[in-house]
Amino acid sequence: MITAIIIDDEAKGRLALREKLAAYCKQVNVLAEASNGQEALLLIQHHKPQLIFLDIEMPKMNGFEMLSALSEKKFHIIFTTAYDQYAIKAIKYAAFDYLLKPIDIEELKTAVEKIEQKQNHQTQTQAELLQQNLQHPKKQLNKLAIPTLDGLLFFDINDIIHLEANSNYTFIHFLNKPKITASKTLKEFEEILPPGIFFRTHHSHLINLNYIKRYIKGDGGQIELQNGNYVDVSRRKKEEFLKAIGH
Amino acid sequence: MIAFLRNIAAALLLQIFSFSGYAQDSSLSGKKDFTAPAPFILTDTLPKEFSVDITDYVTSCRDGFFDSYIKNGQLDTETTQQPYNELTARKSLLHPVNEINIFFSVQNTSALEKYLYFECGSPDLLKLVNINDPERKIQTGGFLGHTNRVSTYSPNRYLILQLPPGKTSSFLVYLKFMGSYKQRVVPVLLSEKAYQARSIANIDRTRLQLIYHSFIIGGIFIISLFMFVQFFLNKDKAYLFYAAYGLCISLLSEKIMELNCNIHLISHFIPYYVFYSHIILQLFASFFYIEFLRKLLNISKKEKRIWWYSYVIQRLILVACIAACTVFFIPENSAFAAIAYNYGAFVSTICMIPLLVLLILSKKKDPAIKFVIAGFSAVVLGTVTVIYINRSGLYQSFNLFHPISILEFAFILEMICFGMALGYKTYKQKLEKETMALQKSETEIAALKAQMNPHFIFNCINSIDAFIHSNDKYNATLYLNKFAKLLRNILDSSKQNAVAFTKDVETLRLYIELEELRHENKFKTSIQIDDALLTNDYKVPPLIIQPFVENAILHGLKNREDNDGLLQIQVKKAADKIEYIIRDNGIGRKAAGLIAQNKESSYGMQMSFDRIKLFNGEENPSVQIMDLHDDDIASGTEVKVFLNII
Repeated sequence: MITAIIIDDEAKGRLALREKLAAYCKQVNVLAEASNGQEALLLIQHHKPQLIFLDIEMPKMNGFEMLSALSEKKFHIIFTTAYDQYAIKAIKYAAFDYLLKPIDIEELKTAVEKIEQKQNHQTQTQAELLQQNLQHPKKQLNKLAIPTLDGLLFFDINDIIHLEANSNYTFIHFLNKPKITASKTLKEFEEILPPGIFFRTHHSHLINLNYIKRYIKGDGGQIELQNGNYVDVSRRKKEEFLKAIGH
Repeated sequence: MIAFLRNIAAALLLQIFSFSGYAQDSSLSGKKDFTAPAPFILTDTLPKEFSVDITDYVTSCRDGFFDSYIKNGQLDTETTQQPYNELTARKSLLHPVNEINIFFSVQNTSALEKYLYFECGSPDLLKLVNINDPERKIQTGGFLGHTNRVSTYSPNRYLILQLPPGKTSSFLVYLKFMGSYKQRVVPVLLSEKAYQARSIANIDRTRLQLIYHSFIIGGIFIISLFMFVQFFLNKDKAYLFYAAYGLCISLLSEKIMELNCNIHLISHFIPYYVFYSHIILQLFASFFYIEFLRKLLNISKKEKRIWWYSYVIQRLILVACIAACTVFFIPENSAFAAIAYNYGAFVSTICMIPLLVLLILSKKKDPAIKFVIAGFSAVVLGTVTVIYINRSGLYQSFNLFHPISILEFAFILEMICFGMALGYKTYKQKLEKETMALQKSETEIAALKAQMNPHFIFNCINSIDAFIHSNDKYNATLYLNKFAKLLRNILDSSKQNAVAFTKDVETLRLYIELEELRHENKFKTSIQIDDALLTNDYKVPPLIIQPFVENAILHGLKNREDNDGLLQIQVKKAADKIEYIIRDNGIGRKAAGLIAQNKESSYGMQMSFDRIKLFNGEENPSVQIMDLHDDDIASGTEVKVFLNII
């Protein structure tokens, strides 16, 4: 049994989620529902749930603000939002789970199952990373939580030299740090990493343009990176790549 | 360069004030002690090919002497004995016609009959009579198409003198110069051989000129024709006036060709054409020219100086055009014709110079203006140069080409410049049209985006989802239909600038009903609309007040602690405006401002401001926002929007 609290300012939103959980995720026990941030703070402290469904868009105190007001975060979070691309990106950076409204039943089931399987949570650290990213004056997201087989690891995206696809996993090479194996596809990384800095040179390579040492001409060519690794450029991407580095 | 300009200025000044100077010249023709010069002796010892200046053998006669001799056959020795003045003298500024009557004799000492050719400058009319001829038969020549000309196709500045052997023949000559140009008129006798050589040289000269003129005429005519076609394609009147201007210029060039190359095309049918067409074509050309410039540069009344100057000058030119046309009905000696002939080019150029200066000084940003100034300057410079060359006497050193060829070349340069200006203008217009179309579609998309706040859309769907999960089929269908209807209305109206007021109100109601559903019982709505607005077919920009309503709900009413929110919408017809009042009893702008702003709705507000401005055609949008207070406590917001009735 997972104990949960639903936080959403719209009654219809809470109703829809509650009914879906009751019908399709019987392992979730909804202890309470909050219609705003303040109410939620009290309910969390009182019920100490294992999971909260948190709406971001709320009047007065939004979901992120409520989260930072909590000193202790001993629960899993599934964010729910109707539409906010910036917020979704920030959530992805912190490797939080999220659901788009209206909530798809299958997605809801998958998200709940994932949480059920998790031994422990890193909500505290993830929330800190989220705050750091949100507080960046230029709304730039720098800190990234990377899921690995050993749990979440936290990095600055500027330390990533290049990423290499390996079926459903991705090898990530860092500056002055050993490489790691992330349990996410290269495509997922490409979607969230800023396109001005990261460039997909090849179907299995994503590089940080700031770490190029030299370009070796060829059919598509090769790039030598500052850590001495060589990365292929596919023929299709060559022109776009040369443009990206200002040639 | 400075010296050149100074010379031109001097020539222009001379032109304006010189008539007094010429008057002094005429004093030379006063009576003096004078003995009749001996006849020119033609002997067999003279070479076969010769041309002799016979100034010393010539005496001047009083005005009208030639005509009176023809009438009564009386020779008056008193009046024939005046020294010959080789410069034409203009009698007055308003009558720039020079008539010279001269007398000379030739004695043929040979035993054979001889023929000599007489030439004296290039008069417009030349008449000669042999005193020894009892019939007093008149030979005529000159450039002016004249009814009793000997042969239309002869090089008309030479007249033949028949000299019987051993006799002295005396001749009376009448010369008429319509020009006010200061020119030397030297009487010359040529032998047959010399005449033939001159004729051949003349043919060679005219052939070259003919080719040159043909190029100019053909070129300008084709450009005009092209512009005329462009007028039909673009419907830009600038092209039409340009074509008309080009036609006038090519006709003017044709006239110059007829004059310089001794050919008769139009003048074959209209005898005085060459003489009169000049001023009429020039005036019409100027008229079309100004009209073209006004159209090309879109000269508006805002540019006061240029607008008024071009307007006044153009009207004056039109009057002058009509007046000039009357010369066809006025006898050949008309002073008016002579004035028109002499000052036409000069005056119309003088009128154009200030316009050019005004254009150069104007701060018009139109890039076409550079081409216009370049072309305009070319023609003004060409005209001034030609006037200078003609009046200063420099033209006598132009053998192969008439100085007017310079002007024709300037016309070609100008046509190229103006062609570029027109092309540039059309290109810009096309570009503008494309950007406009792009902007329009961008605005449409932006309007659509503003009206379809994604938060609103997804939350609506979410609310309907809630009905489904609480097994409320009735409400699920009801709101799904409302939502569908709203989407349909928005999609329909996003393509239009204005929709029927009643339909727009219906869309707004749907929107509010869906918002009420989202925020269950948070607020109540009252909508009051003047009957006059509902019964008449007024047009308004679609959902223009929706962002204000959305703002009232999301930032005013939604943040209220209780559920006593009230949204009041009033639409009234006030004189020529539709007045919308959106009032809420929410937390007020100040408090709402402290709560994070919703990006989408403020974007929507901005869009509405822009659209209201655009719809009313005003600088600042007719929107008033007031904070409502109840005993100094914020008690909501009131927004008033005014739309012009169309």
